[in-house]
Amino acid sequence: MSPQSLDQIFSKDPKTLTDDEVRIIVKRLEAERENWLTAEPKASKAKKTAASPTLSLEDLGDLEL
Amino acid sequence: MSNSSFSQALPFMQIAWDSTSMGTLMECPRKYQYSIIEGWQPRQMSVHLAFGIHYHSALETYDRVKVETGDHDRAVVAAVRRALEDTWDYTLNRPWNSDDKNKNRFTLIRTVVWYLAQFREDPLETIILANGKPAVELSFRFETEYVSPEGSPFILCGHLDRLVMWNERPRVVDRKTSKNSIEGEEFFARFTPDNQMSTYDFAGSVVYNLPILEGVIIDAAQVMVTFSRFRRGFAHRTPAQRHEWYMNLGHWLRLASQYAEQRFWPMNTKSCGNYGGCPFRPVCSKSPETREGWLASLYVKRTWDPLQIRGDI
Repeated sequence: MSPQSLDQIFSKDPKTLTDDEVRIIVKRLEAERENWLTAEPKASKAKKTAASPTLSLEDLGDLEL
Repeated sequence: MSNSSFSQALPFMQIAWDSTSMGTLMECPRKYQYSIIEGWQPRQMSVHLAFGIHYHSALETYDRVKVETGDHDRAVVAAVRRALEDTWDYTLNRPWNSDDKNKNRFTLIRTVVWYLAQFREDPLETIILANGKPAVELSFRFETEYVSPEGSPFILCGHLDRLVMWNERPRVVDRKTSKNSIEGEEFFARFTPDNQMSTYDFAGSVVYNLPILEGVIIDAAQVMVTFSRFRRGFAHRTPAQRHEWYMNLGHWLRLASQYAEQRFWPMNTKSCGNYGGCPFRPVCSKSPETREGWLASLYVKRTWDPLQIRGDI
Protein backbone atom coordinates (compact mmCIF):
# COMPACT_ATOMS: atom_id res chain seq x y z
CA MET A 1 0.00 0.00 0.00
CA SER A 2 1.48 3.37 -0.95
CA PRO A 3 1.96 5.90 1.83
CA GLN A 4 -0.80 8.44 2.24
CA SER A 5 -0.09 12.06 1.44
CA LEU A 6 -0.89 14.75 3.98
CA ASP A 7 -3.60 16.03 1.67
CA GLN A 8 -5.27 12.61 1.70
CA ILE A 9 -5.24 12.44 5.48
CA PHE A 10 -6.39 16.05 5.84
CA SER A 11 -9.36 15.43 3.57
CA LYS A 12 -10.73 12.58 5.71
CA ASP A 13 -13.40 12.99 8.36
CA PRO A 14 -11.13 13.34 11.43
CA LYS A 15 -13.35 11.08 13.52
CA THR A 16 -12.40 8.21 11.20
CA LEU A 17 -8.64 8.82 11.50
CA THR A 18 -6.56 6.32 13.42
CA ASP A 19 -3.87 7.46 15.84
CA ASP A 20 -1.30 6.16 13.35
CA GLU A 21 -2.66 8.48 10.69
CA VAL A 22 -2.50 11.43 13.08
CA ARG A 23 1.09 10.41 13.93
CA ILE A 24 1.93 10.55 10.23
CA ILE A 25 0.81 14.18 10.20
CA VAL A 26 2.91 14.94 13.28
CA LYS A 27 6.03 13.21 11.96
CA ARG A 28 5.84 14.87 8.54
CA LEU A 29 5.30 18.31 10.02
CA GLU A 30 8.15 17.78 12.48
CA ALA A 31 10.38 16.80 9.55
CA GLU A 32 9.25 19.90 7.69
CA ARG A 33 10.24 21.96 10.75
CA GLU A 34 13.69 20.35 10.83
CA ASN A 35 14.18 21.24 7.16
CA TRP A 36 13.04 24.78 7.80
CA LEU A 37 15.34 25.16 10.81
CA THR A 38 18.27 24.02 8.68
CA ALA A 39 17.44 26.43 5.89
CA GLU A 40 16.36 29.32 8.12
CA PRO A 41 19.78 30.86 9.00
CA LYS A 42 20.59 31.31 5.30
CA ALA A 43 17.08 32.48 4.52
CA SER A 44 17.12 35.02 7.36
CA LYS A 45 20.11 36.81 5.88
CA ALA A 46 18.52 36.88 2.46
CA LYS A 47 15.26 38.14 3.89
CA LYS A 48 16.71 41.20 5.63
CA THR A 49 15.35 43.38 2.87
CA ALA A 50 12.07 41.53 2.56
CA ALA A 51 11.09 41.18 6.20
CA SER A 52 7.57 40.20 7.14
CA PRO A 53 5.36 43.20 7.80
CA THR A 54 5.32 44.86 11.17
CA LEU A 55 1.99 44.98 12.94
CA SER A 56 0.18 48.25 12.46
CA LEU A 57 -2.96 49.66 14.04
CA GLU A 58 -4.86 48.75 10.90
CA ASP A 59 -4.31 45.04 11.31
CA LEU A 60 -4.30 44.66 15.07
CA GLY A 61 -7.42 42.53 14.65
CA ASP A 62 -4.93 39.85 13.62
CA LEU A 63 -4.29 39.34 17.34
CA GLU A 64 -7.87 38.60 18.29
CA LEU A 65 -8.45 36.39 21.36
CA MET B 1 -31.78 36.72 23.69
CA SER B 2 -30.80 36.59 27.38
CA ASN B 3 -27.33 37.54 28.50
CA SER B 4 -26.49 36.72 32.11
CA SER B 5 -23.82 39.42 32.26
CA PHE B 6 -26.48 42.14 32.09
CA SER B 7 -28.69 43.55 34.85
CA GLN B 8 -32.18 42.09 35.13
CA ALA B 9 -33.53 45.43 36.36
CA LEU B 10 -31.69 47.67 33.88
CA PRO B 11 -31.48 45.68 30.67
CA PHE B 12 -28.83 47.86 29.01
CA MET B 13 -26.53 47.81 32.02
CA GLN B 14 -23.74 45.28 31.83
CA ILE B 15 -22.74 44.07 35.29
CA ALA B 16 -20.12 41.43 34.48
CA TRP B 17 -17.31 42.71 32.29
CA ASP B 18 -14.51 40.92 30.52
CA SER B 19 -11.62 42.47 28.59
CA THR B 20 -13.44 42.02 25.27
CA SER B 21 -16.54 43.96 26.28
CA MET B 22 -14.54 46.64 28.11
CA GLY B 23 -12.08 46.91 25.22
CA THR B 24 -14.96 47.35 22.79
CA LEU B 25 -16.50 50.08 24.93
CA MET B 26 -13.12 51.85 25.10
CA GLU B 27 -12.70 51.54 21.35
CA CYS B 28 -16.14 52.86 20.42
CA PRO B 29 -19.31 53.00 22.53
CA ARG B 30 -21.49 52.54 19.42
CA LYS B 31 -19.57 49.40 18.45
CA TYR B 32 -20.11 48.23 22.02
CA GLN B 33 -23.86 48.88 21.68
CA TYR B 34 -24.13 46.92 18.45
CA SER B 35 -21.83 44.00 19.27
CA ILE B 36 -22.13 43.50 23.03
CA ILE B 37 -25.51 44.94 24.06
CA GLU B 38 -27.48 44.02 20.95
CA GLY B 39 -25.31 41.02 20.05
CA TRP B 40 -24.83 41.75 16.34
CA GLN B 41 -21.85 40.03 14.73
CA PRO B 42 -20.68 39.70 11.12
CA ARG B 43 -22.21 36.64 9.45
CA GLN B 44 -18.79 35.06 9.06
CA MET B 45 -16.53 34.84 12.09
CA SER B 46 -13.21 36.66 11.68
CA VAL B 47 -10.53 34.24 10.49
CA HIS B 48 -8.20 35.59 13.18
CA LEU B 49 -10.72 34.83 15.91
CA ALA B 50 -11.47 31.37 14.50
CA PHE B 51 -7.77 30.53 14.15
CA GLY B 52 -7.07 31.79 17.68
CA ILE B 53 -9.90 29.69 19.15
CA HIS B 54 -8.68 26.52 17.40
CA TYR B 55 -5.05 27.16 18.37
CA HIS B 56 -5.96 27.67 22.03
CA SER B 57 -8.19 24.65 22.02
CA ALA B 58 -5.48 22.36 20.62
CA LEU B 59 -2.81 23.56 23.05
CA GLU B 60 -5.24 23.28 25.97
CA THR B 61 -5.82 19.66 24.95
CA TYR B 62 -2.06 19.08 24.90
CA ASP B 63 -1.65 20.53 28.40
CA ARG B 64 -4.47 18.42 29.83
CA VAL B 65 -3.37 15.14 28.25
CA LYS B 66 0.28 15.81 29.13
CA VAL B 67 -0.63 16.27 32.80
CA GLU B 68 -2.95 13.24 32.79
CA THR B 69 -0.54 10.85 31.08
CA GLY B 70 2.93 12.43 31.33
CA ASP B 71 3.39 11.35 27.70
CA HIS B 72 4.44 14.15 25.32
CA ASP B 73 3.90 12.18 22.10
CA ARG B 74 0.45 11.05 23.13
CA ALA B 75 -0.47 14.60 24.08
CA VAL B 76 0.72 15.92 20.71
CA VAL B 77 -1.46 13.38 18.89
CA ALA B 78 -4.43 14.40 21.06
CA ALA B 79 -3.80 18.09 20.31
CA VAL B 80 -3.58 17.51 16.56
CA ARG B 81 -6.67 15.34 16.61
CA ARG B 82 -8.50 18.09 18.47
CA ALA B 83 -7.44 20.68 15.88
CA LEU B 84 -8.49 18.38 13.03
CA GLU B 85 -11.90 17.76 14.59
CA ASP B 86 -12.49 21.40 15.52
CA THR B 87 -11.79 22.44 11.94
CA TRP B 88 -14.09 19.93 10.27
CA ASP B 89 -17.52 21.05 9.14
CA TYR B 90 -19.65 18.05 10.05
CA THR B 91 -22.73 19.51 8.36
CA LEU B 92 -21.06 19.87 4.98
CA ASN B 93 -18.61 16.99 5.63
CA ARG B 94 -15.59 19.02 4.61
CA PRO B 95 -12.67 20.86 6.24
CA TRP B 96 -12.88 24.44 7.51
CA ASN B 97 -12.61 26.62 4.45
CA SER B 98 -10.45 29.62 5.26
CA ASP B 99 -9.50 31.84 2.35
CA ASP B 100 -6.61 33.32 4.35
CA LYS B 101 -3.26 32.13 3.06
CA ASN B 102 -1.62 32.51 6.49
CA LYS B 103 -4.38 31.32 8.74
CA ASN B 104 -6.03 28.14 7.54
CA ARG B 105 -6.41 24.51 8.57
CA PHE B 106 -2.99 23.39 7.40
CA THR B 107 -1.07 26.32 8.96
CA LEU B 108 -3.03 25.82 12.19
CA ILE B 109 -1.97 22.21 12.55
CA ARG B 110 1.58 22.99 11.45
CA THR B 111 1.75 25.77 14.05
CA VAL B 112 0.51 23.45 16.80
CA VAL B 113 3.03 20.72 15.88
CA TRP B 114 5.95 23.14 15.54
CA TYR B 115 5.08 24.89 18.81
CA LEU B 116 4.96 21.61 20.70
CA ALA B 117 8.24 20.51 19.08
CA GLN B 118 9.96 23.73 20.08
CA PHE B 119 8.63 23.69 23.64
CA ARG B 120 8.85 19.97 24.26
CA GLU B 121 11.10 20.85 27.22
CA ASP B 122 9.20 23.93 28.26
CA PRO B 123 10.85 26.22 30.84
CA LEU B 124 7.33 27.45 31.66
CA GLU B 125 5.88 24.81 33.96
CA THR B 126 2.09 24.69 34.02
CA ILE B 127 0.78 25.06 37.57
CA ILE B 128 -1.26 22.12 38.79
CA LEU B 129 -4.42 23.13 40.65
CA ALA B 130 -5.53 21.63 43.95
CA ASN B 131 -7.95 19.38 42.03
CA GLY B 132 -5.02 17.89 40.10
CA LYS B 133 -5.90 19.60 36.83
CA PRO B 134 -3.53 21.85 34.90
CA ALA B 135 -4.12 25.59 35.19
CA VAL B 136 -5.14 26.16 31.58
CA GLU B 137 -8.17 28.01 30.15
CA LEU B 138 -9.11 29.17 33.61
CA SER B 139 -12.29 31.13 34.02
CA PHE B 140 -12.23 33.85 36.68
CA ARG B 141 -14.79 36.22 38.14
CA PHE B 142 -14.74 38.52 41.12
CA GLU B 143 -16.56 41.55 42.46
CA THR B 144 -14.92 44.94 42.07
CA GLU B 145 -15.30 47.81 44.51
CA TYR B 146 -17.31 49.70 41.90
CA VAL B 147 -21.09 49.71 42.30
CA SER B 148 -23.52 49.57 39.40
CA PRO B 149 -26.67 51.75 39.21
CA GLU B 150 -28.77 48.77 40.34
CA GLY B 151 -26.76 48.69 43.58
CA SER B 152 -24.76 45.54 43.02
CA PRO B 153 -20.99 45.50 42.51
CA PHE B 154 -19.59 45.33 39.02
CA ILE B 155 -17.95 42.00 38.28
CA LEU B 156 -14.71 41.44 36.41
CA CYS B 157 -14.47 38.12 34.59
CA GLY B 158 -12.70 36.33 31.78
CA HIS B 159 -10.39 33.48 30.95
CA LEU B 160 -6.66 33.01 31.45
CA ASP B 161 -4.86 30.86 28.91
CA ARG B 162 -2.35 29.38 31.31
CA LEU B 163 -0.77 29.85 34.73
CA VAL B 164 2.85 28.78 34.98
CA MET B 165 5.88 28.82 37.22
CA TRP B 166 8.90 30.51 35.71
CA ASN B 167 12.07 31.32 37.62
CA GLU B 168 10.24 30.15 40.74
CA ARG B 169 7.55 32.75 40.27
CA PRO B 170 3.95 32.35 39.11
CA ARG B 171 3.06 33.98 35.80
CA VAL B 172 0.02 34.39 33.61
CA VAL B 173 0.60 33.35 30.00
CA ASP B 174 -1.43 34.64 27.08
CA ARG B 175 -1.07 33.07 23.65
CA LYS B 176 -1.19 35.21 20.52
CA THR B 177 -1.02 34.33 16.85
CA SER B 178 -0.10 36.81 14.16
CA LYS B 179 1.01 36.88 10.56
CA ASN B 180 3.10 39.93 11.38
CA SER B 181 6.66 40.06 12.62
CA ILE B 182 7.25 39.07 16.22
CA GLU B 183 10.93 39.94 16.07
CA GLY B 184 12.24 42.91 18.01
CA GLU B 185 10.61 44.56 20.98
CA GLU B 186 8.01 46.38 18.91
CA PHE B 187 5.61 43.45 18.89
CA PHE B 188 5.60 43.05 22.66
CA ALA B 189 5.67 46.78 23.39
CA ARG B 190 2.09 47.13 22.13
CA PHE B 191 0.82 45.14 25.12
CA THR B 192 1.80 47.91 27.53
CA PRO B 193 -0.46 49.65 28.14
CA ASP B 194 -3.14 47.24 27.02
CA ASN B 195 -6.50 46.63 28.65
CA GLN B 196 -6.56 42.88 27.98
CA MET B 197 -3.14 42.21 29.51
CA SER B 198 -3.86 44.49 32.46
CA THR B 199 -7.10 42.61 33.08
CA TYR B 200 -5.25 39.29 33.08
CA ASP B 201 -2.49 40.69 35.29
CA PHE B 202 -5.08 42.01 37.73
CA ALA B 203 -7.03 38.75 37.70
CA GLY B 204 -3.88 36.73 38.29
CA SER B 205 -2.87 38.89 41.21
CA VAL B 206 -6.32 39.02 42.84
CA VAL B 207 -8.22 35.84 42.00
CA TYR B 208 -5.33 33.44 42.06
CA ASN B 209 -3.66 35.30 44.89
CA LEU B 210 -0.34 35.69 43.13
CA PRO B 211 1.00 38.75 44.93
CA ILE B 212 4.38 38.68 43.24
CA LEU B 213 2.91 38.59 39.77
CA GLU B 214 4.74 41.09 37.57
CA GLY B 215 2.67 41.05 34.45
CA VAL B 216 1.88 38.62 31.68
CA ILE B 217 4.07 36.45 29.46
CA ILE B 218 3.03 36.79 25.81
CA ASP B 219 3.54 33.47 24.05
CA ALA B 220 3.56 34.63 20.43
CA ALA B 221 3.33 32.59 17.24
CA GLN B 222 4.02 34.10 13.86
CA VAL B 223 2.06 32.17 11.26
CA MET B 224 3.39 32.46 7.74
CA VAL B 225 2.52 30.57 4.58
CA THR B 226 5.61 28.34 4.70
CA PHE B 227 6.63 28.42 8.36
CA SER B 228 5.61 29.24 11.93
CA ARG B 229 7.96 30.73 14.47
CA PHE B 230 7.61 31.48 18.15
CA ARG B 231 8.81 34.03 20.63
CA ARG B 232 8.01 34.88 24.21
CA GLY B 233 7.98 38.35 25.68
CA PHE B 234 6.68 40.22 28.68
CA ALA B 235 3.96 42.73 29.37
CA HIS B 236 5.29 43.97 32.71
CA ARG B 237 3.06 45.57 35.30
CA THR B 238 4.18 47.21 38.53
CA PRO B 239 1.78 47.41 41.49
CA ALA B 240 1.36 51.14 40.73
CA GLN B 241 0.48 50.40 37.11
CA ARG B 242 -2.01 47.79 38.30
CA HIS B 243 -3.59 50.34 40.61
CA GLU B 244 -3.72 52.93 37.83
CA TRP B 245 -5.46 50.48 35.51
CA TYR B 246 -8.01 49.72 38.24
CA MET B 247 -8.73 53.45 38.66
CA ASN B 248 -9.22 53.71 34.90
CA LEU B 249 -11.58 50.76 35.02
CA GLY B 250 -13.74 52.62 37.54
CA HIS B 251 -13.92 55.60 35.23
CA TRP B 252 -15.02 53.47 32.29
CA LEU B 253 -17.63 51.65 34.38
CA ARG B 254 -19.12 54.99 35.42
CA LEU B 255 -19.19 56.03 31.80
CA ALA B 256 -20.86 52.76 30.84
CA SER B 257 -23.50 53.44 33.51
CA GLN B 258 -24.17 56.90 32.08
CA TYR B 259 -24.53 55.54 28.56
CA ALA B 260 -26.92 52.83 29.75
CA GLU B 261 -29.04 55.31 31.72
CA GLN B 262 -29.19 57.68 28.76
CA ARG B 263 -29.59 54.78 26.32
CA PHE B 264 -27.10 56.48 24.06
CA TRP B 265 -23.72 55.13 23.05
CA PRO B 266 -21.80 57.73 21.02
CA MET B 267 -19.70 56.91 17.97
CA ASN B 268 -15.96 57.27 18.28
CA THR B 269 -15.30 58.10 14.66
CA LYS B 270 -11.54 58.06 15.18
CA SER B 271 -11.71 54.27 15.57
CA CYS B 272 -13.57 53.41 12.36
CA GLY B 273 -10.39 52.53 10.45
CA ASN B 274 -8.65 50.55 13.17
CA TYR B 275 -8.25 46.78 13.31
CA GLY B 276 -8.64 46.43 9.57
CA GLY B 277 -11.81 48.56 9.62
CA CYS B 278 -14.71 48.33 12.04
CA PRO B 279 -17.21 45.66 10.99
CA PHE B 280 -20.04 48.12 11.74
CA ARG B 281 -18.77 50.83 9.43
CA PRO B 282 -21.28 49.76 6.74
CA VAL B 283 -24.06 50.49 9.28
CA CYS B 284 -22.70 53.66 10.87
CA SER B 285 -22.18 55.10 7.40
CA LYS B 286 -25.94 54.90 6.73
CA SER B 287 -28.57 57.39 7.80
CA PRO B 288 -29.73 56.65 11.39
CA GLU B 289 -33.34 55.83 10.50
CA THR B 290 -32.21 52.98 8.21
CA ARG B 291 -29.66 51.33 10.49
CA GLU B 292 -31.94 48.77 12.13
CA GLY B 293 -32.68 47.37 8.71
CA TRP B 294 -29.01 47.24 7.78
CA LEU B 295 -28.12 45.48 11.01
CA ALA B 296 -30.77 42.83 10.44
CA SER B 297 -29.70 42.21 6.86
CA LEU B 298 -25.90 42.27 7.23
CA TYR B 299 -25.34 40.65 10.64
CA VAL B 300 -26.47 37.78 12.80
CA LYS B 301 -27.13 37.72 16.54
CA ARG B 302 -24.55 35.91 18.65
CA THR B 303 -24.66 36.69 22.33
CA TRP B 304 -21.33 37.58 23.92
CA ASP B 305 -21.77 36.48 27.51
CA PRO B 306 -18.55 36.84 29.53
CA LEU B 307 -20.01 34.75 32.35
CA GLN B 308 -20.02 31.62 30.24
CA ILE B 309 -17.36 29.34 31.61
CA ARG B 310 -14.73 27.74 29.35
CA GLY B 311 -12.53 25.75 31.67
CA ASP B 312 -12.04 25.49 35.40
CA ILE B 313 -12.78 28.22 37.89
